[in-house]
Amino acid sequence: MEKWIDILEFVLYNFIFVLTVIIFSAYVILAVFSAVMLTRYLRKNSYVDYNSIILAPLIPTISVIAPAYNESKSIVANIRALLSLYYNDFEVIVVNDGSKDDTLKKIIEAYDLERVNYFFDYRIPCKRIRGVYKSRNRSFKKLTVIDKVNGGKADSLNAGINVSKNKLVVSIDADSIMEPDALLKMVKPFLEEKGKKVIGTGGVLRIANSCEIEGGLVRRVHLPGNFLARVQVLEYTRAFLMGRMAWAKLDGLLLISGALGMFDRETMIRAGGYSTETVGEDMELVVRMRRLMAEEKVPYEVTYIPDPLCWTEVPERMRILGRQRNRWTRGTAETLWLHRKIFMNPKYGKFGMLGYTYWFFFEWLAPLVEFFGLIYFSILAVLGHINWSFFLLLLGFVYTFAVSLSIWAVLFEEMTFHKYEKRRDVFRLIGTAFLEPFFYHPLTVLWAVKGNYDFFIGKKSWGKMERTGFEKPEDNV
Amino acid sequence: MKKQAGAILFLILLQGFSLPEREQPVYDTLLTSGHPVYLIQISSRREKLPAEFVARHFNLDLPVFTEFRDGYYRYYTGPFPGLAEAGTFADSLGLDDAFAVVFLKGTRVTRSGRPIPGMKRGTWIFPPDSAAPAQDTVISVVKEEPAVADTAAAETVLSRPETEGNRLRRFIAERDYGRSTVFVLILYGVIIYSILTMLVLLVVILINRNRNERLAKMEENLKEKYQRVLMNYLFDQELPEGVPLRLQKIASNSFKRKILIDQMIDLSVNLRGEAAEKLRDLYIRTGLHHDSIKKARSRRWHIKVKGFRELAFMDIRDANDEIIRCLHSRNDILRMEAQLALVKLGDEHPYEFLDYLKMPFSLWEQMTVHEMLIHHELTPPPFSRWLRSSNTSIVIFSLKMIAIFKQEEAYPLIIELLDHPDPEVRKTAIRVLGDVKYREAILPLKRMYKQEPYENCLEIVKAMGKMPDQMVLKFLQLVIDREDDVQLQIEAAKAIQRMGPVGEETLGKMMQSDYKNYQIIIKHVLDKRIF
Repeated sequence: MEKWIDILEFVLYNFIFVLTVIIFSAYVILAVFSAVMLTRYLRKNSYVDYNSIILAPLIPTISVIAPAYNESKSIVANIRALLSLYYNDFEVIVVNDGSKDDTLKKIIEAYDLERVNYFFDYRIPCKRIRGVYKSRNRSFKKLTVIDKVNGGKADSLNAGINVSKNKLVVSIDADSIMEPDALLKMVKPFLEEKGKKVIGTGGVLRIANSCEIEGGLVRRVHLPGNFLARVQVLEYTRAFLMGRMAWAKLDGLLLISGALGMFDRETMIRAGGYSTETVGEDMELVVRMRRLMAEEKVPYEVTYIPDPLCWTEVPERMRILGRQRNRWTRGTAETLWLHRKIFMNPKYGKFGMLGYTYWFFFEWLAPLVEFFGLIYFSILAVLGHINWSFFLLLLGFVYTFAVSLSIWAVLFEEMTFHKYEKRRDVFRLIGTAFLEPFFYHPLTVLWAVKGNYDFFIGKKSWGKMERTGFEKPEDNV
Repeated sequence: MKKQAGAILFLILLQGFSLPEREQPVYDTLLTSGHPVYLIQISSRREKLPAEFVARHFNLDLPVFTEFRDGYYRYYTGPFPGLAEAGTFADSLGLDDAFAVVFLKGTRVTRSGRPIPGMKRGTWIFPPDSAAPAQDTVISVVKEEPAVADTAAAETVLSRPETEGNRLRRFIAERDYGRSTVFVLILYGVIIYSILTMLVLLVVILINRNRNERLAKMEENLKEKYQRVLMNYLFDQELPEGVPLRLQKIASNSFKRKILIDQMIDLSVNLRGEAAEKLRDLYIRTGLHHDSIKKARSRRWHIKVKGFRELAFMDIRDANDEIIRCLHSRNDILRMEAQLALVKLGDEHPYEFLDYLKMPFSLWEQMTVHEMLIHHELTPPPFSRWLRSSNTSIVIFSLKMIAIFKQEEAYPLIIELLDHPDPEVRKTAIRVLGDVKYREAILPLKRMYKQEPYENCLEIVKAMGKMPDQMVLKFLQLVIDREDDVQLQIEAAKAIQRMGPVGEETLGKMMQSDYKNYQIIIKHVLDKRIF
């Protein structure tokens, strides 16, 4: 008994440390799982000839939905890149979400569009559709443009889903750059479906800042010059190559990034489409679809592709990045709170017991614990109750472990997709890993705390996202 | 109330039992003094030793105090007036292990006299004949016989040189971490491990880069060289007998042979007839098929897969037994590759696996088998053979293949599947009947419409549209009239429109109806810009 009391006292006394150890252990376990999964994925796909899929008559049809709001700078080039994706039977649905700039005008001019007599079936509620446009030019027959009253990204995606007639739907950000073979790679898990219905597939997002982009395609990959963007490269590599890969295997994937995801359209519609009530509509949809499947007792899975499929521009300014992270935190908190029924509920299987629980403690609460830990530490420091020798030891432990984990992520990238060809880039990435815990991590904690505060006071806004656009504006195609 | 009184009495009794027999002010100083007490830690051992032995062993005139903490007995001597004096005395002892420590009311503190946060209090052990500490002390004090009472045994313990582990523990003790040694050691361990990992990973990354760059360069050169030799061999009029020998020479190791095989496979994809035969002949004469067979018999699944693929491409049947064995593998990928290889290499029953496959036959597998049939111009089997399979995915696959290869003799059998218990099979059967325009299906399709789930109703309407007929036209008009679902109405209108002039005329008439939706739906359907 005394032994157990000692253990309890030890755990309480070292709560933050214990939490740190659990988080680190979870990271190690996830990394190991990811390594195994990555190896299997690479081996399995080393023989695949994706070109054979392009012409296969049995391949499912796909609708790529790209919502656009004030994207005048880059929309024409981005649509052109989407139309050039390698796939046989697909359509591109661009949803102009009541842009205040000349986004629609530019698309109409560039692609020779005219309004068609479209009967719009509002299967999922969305804001009023002002018109549906198609091109007079048969070369652009794959393109459909919807003009609607502004309602946000989720609302635009819902409008696109309503127009789509295809089996699979791909939702992307209009300013993301998809790899030309992204659809071929993403469709594969749906084709490999065996017994379990595949309801969604996510892919790896890569950071396009500082990359050379031409004609809506990434021509040369460079590591971002800006520190904030560079540190996000590390963050994304860790999250996508080490985290999500493992979660897919553990059936605990709760998020398919809004920047790129492929879904089964009917399941999406039956789940009610994207929620316009949350700022984390991408995560909320996946959780809702999973709930639907689990409640209907349909065997299902959410899969994940470790290939770099989509390039996106990340914020380089602290203010904008702060807003984005605030929004992510609110999105996570809103989703987890809304679906709290899943928490540790065996009815939802691994998704409820493991995936949700992990997100609850480590994605939502961990930054809060860290923040309150910092406050507690500061009070103790002021009162002179800090054992500085032990503090330095603990700091050394946390720091070296965190850095080594980041270097593991760099190795994963090196061994798998090897996107940074210059040796200098790899050294800079490793250098960034050493700086990150001091200069970046505290900021993410603060943003997460602010996001939680905004969640508790019920703030709903998205915040303004400024983008520079990848290319010079083009007026013709 | 009574209980409290009892507790107080009990405490008094306890204290009464431990009344001092002989005054020992030095213990009081150590355990109760509000001022720092400077001592020297002489040794720390797992064994409990009498203080007098320790004092004798180290030739100490001063008293020896024993503290038990974290599984170790620590032996101190002192007290000294200050840290400097304690330090000087520690040096004079000439012991590596000795170092000065500071106590406040029996608890170890920092050298500046401040408490060490997290420092656990130890238990002080008194010699049996010593006095108990002052009553106000709050620390644990016990008085008991030392475990190692034998002088010789105590000497042995004290004479034992300190192990590396002990040195490490002393290193930790000197740094006042205030946590258990094991805990601190784990932290140190993780730090050292992390640093080592960083260094190793850095080296691995660099080596991997260099290796990959080197291999990529080598591969490029080899490919160029092999391609030249192969093209000359395949398309030059004369047949250079020396080519196999030359290739054997330049493809001297497994890496080079791997490149050569890949190159041959790449070439074989686009070769037919004589050229393909010539390449196969070269592949065998160069002895590369031994590599492929070896791969097919490897214990690692991904190497096996490579072997199967190479053998299938080159039409080598020497490892068919291994391929057949893998048809039952639990590894999905290996099983699929074995199926594919057998479709290409099987002598008598290449599609036999479809007879007994219990697991779902995924769309991916279906596509690869179809691609194999097309690419290698293989004769498709009569797929009607599997229309009664208990595996629904095989039935669905067979239905699709019947439509693609237009196996007309199977069409009547498809009608039977409209009663299949699985809605997905019925859906595919409906679609196939529409695709092959099998008019005999019109009546059964009409009959089943009302009982079918929504998705299948949509398929029936679409299938009807592919079979223009007066009877169908009326049915489709009824769908538009009676159904509330817009998708069904649109599909029915599309189906009518696909019937040509008769259909368009019908739609024109319907446009004149007062019902508002009709006009919007028909306008939508007639708009040729919407595909």
